[in-house]
Amino acid sequence: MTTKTDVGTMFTMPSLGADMTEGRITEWLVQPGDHVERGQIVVIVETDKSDIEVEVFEPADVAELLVAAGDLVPVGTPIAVFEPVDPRRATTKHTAASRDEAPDTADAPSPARTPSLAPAPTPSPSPHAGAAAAHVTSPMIRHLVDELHVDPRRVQGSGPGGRVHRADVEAAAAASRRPKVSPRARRLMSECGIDPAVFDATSYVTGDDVLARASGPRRPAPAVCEQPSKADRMRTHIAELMTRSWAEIPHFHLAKRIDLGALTERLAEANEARALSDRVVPGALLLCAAARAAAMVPACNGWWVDGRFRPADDVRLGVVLSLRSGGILVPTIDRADEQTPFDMMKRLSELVQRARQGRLRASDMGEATITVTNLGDLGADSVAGVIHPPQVALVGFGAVHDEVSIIDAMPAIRPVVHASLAGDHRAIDGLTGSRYLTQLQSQLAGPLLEELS
Amino acid sequence: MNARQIILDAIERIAPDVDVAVLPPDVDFREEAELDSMDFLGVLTAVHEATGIEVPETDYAQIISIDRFTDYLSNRMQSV
Amino acid sequence: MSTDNETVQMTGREAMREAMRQAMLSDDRVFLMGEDVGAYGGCFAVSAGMLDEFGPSRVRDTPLSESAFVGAGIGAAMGGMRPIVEIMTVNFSLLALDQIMNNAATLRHMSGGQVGVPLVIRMTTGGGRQLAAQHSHSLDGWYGHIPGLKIVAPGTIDDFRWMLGPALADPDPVIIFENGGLYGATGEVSQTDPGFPLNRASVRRAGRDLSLITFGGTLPTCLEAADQLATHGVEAEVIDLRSLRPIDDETIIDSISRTHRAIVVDEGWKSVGLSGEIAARIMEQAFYELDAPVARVCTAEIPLPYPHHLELAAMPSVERIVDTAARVMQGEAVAAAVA
Repeated sequence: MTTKTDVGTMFTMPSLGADMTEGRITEWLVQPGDHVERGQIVVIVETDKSDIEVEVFEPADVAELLVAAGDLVPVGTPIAVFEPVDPRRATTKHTAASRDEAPDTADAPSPARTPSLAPAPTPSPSPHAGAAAAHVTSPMIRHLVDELHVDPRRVQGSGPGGRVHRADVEAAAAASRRPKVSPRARRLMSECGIDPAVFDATSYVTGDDVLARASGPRRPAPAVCEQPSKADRMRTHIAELMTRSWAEIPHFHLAKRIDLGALTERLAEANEARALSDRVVPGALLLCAAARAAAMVPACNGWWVDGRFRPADDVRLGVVLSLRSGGILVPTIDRADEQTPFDMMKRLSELVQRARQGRLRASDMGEATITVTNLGDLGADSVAGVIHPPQVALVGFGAVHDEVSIIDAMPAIRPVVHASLAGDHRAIDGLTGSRYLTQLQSQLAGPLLEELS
Repeated sequence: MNARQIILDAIERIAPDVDVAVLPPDVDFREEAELDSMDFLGVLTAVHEATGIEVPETDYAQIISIDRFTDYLSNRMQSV
Repeated sequence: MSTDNETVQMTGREAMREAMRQAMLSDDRVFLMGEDVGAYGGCFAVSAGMLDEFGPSRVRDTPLSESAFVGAGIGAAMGGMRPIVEIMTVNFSLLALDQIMNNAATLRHMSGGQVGVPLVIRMTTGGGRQLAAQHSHSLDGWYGHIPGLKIVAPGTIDDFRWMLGPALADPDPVIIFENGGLYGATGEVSQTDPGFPLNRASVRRAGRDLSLITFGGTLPTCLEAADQLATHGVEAEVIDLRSLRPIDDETIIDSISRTHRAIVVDEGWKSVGLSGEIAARIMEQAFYELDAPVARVCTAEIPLPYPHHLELAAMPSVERIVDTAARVMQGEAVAAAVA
């Protein structure tokens, strides 16, 4: 999203979804002269799906706003200039009052070749640079300078008297290297509908990097020419996604009825002992179980791209939220399998709140590895869902309700939930899907209960 | 402060699309207003913010309709 | 001793000797000719004992004139025999280049198909044995340039044993490049013909991160480099080309479609050579599969030195391959001739 240039840092219109081609600035939350900290929200961008709050990841001073609120620009367009701030400088700003501060706040030794300092030093016309060039004398160094196509003025000698060593030439070559996006990466970006701007411009981007970000095999058709309403655009987006899913993914559906007697009992005990604001709804537990089951059955947790299944490294759970105004939003919960029931409830509350206000953050909208739809509260007993490509599974929950069950060979009335798994038959088969549902069942009877105490 | 008004305000805050004025007072308002478990918790939270009163899960059966919720809330507010 | 499905340990020279013996025992038309192949037992001892076994009309010592005896071999082949012409080393074959290129490779074409030259030429190739500038060439790229010839290079002892058969059966000239360093190397040899087609490459080691493409004498070097890379978490796939003309594109491209990175290791010089040909084919057929530019590890662009440490420094080594691989994994283009 930001490109480092020699004049400040160019803040560009971010891509907040694989199929996003343009965005409209709803509101700037900063103005030129402001200082922003890491994590601070600087602008609100309107997309087809929602208004997204965009944060910055490095401290900076706002130099200039290039695009006004209300304007619609393509993804990748520079919208502001931010000057990155040296964290040391920020510290010294605040120590004006305390001159006898410990020596650690004094300038650290200048890092000559720390890899994290990205731009190469600009070749200065000073006599010092001429002296540096004069030190490129040995035949081996001259040869290396030629071989690596390095500008000798950019080579800084690290030896005594500015003497140039081999490592200096190699460092200069590294610093002046152009960004590397491989042909395979470009092809996959095109196939998966990923905007190149989402990648750091100075990095080396391979096909695997693109696959890791993939969330849709094809760029959908551009939006209609008339200015449709926000709800219309969301509807269109959902329609395209679901149509694509249904057309491309050979779905199969499995279902399992899961007894929640022990779980609801333990949950009631836990909630009784806690304040209203700490109360956990059953839905949060279902999310925990779904995520942990995905961690146990990794064949369901990943993407189908480029003709094969790519397992994900972690569980990022997509959570389908139904909007009262119609439509759905699917934010993502990272490391969903590691959340305690209380963490999960907190995350869920935050997301629901932000979604209600149409104020989801960019960090809420990461690529999910598996999605859960919980329609229980809305009345359906079970759901046979539509997978969100390029994921390979969708977990569905119906309402938690009482049913007659057989316990110890006797009929009993127990709270149950009908869980379902929609599977992509290219990637997984019935056995794997069944394994997932069995895992889900044991998660809902196992450690989750203990964690509720 | 009117218990009924507090409840209706809370519902309106969580579900701005519902016309609380025409909500039948004697039916399950969760179903009527299509409130899911998170929404419902939100309503209880709003009521708590306005009155300081927490409704325990074990009392949920007593607040099924707006009428019954109003009775419950008035009683608890009086005994505070 | 050993039954059908088992293997035996043999050296490269033993394997080639056995191949020639069996060819001559099973087909009267096959005979061996070359400098010192008879009484001396072959300059590299490959044909030791064969004069005694087969007699002077089937194991023929020739005069010291490559042009003459290669020409005679061509004539014999045209006349219906199946000669194995041994040119002591590829370096001396330059003296017979006109025969090879303008006669052996071209007569079928020029005769409109009336005459074929079912000739097998065996040549010792490669450097690293302190034979210095004039006797250390790798000219596989040169010969691979010529239509009408088939060029093969065994890199395993098993191939030393089993490539000769199909080469002799071929109705057109086949040149076998035998790396001198492999004559003394030991390896597993199948007891029966595995029937591997002459024109196919072989994946000697499967991997997922990058493809090392090589042949002949540098195959053991690449396998060793792959082992070293594995300790760093990089799994290299090693492809033994086996056939240099024609080149098995299918195996190469299939490999790159899985690994997305390639290094060609060729003992010849880099410029205007075989490694460039392979890199071009990869670019043509698998450009959109590549995550990094194709790298080439070749011999330095110099006549090979006599001192052993210098000639080893000039040739592809395990160290250079590993270093190149490390840079390729970072997406770097490796342009320097000597890393």
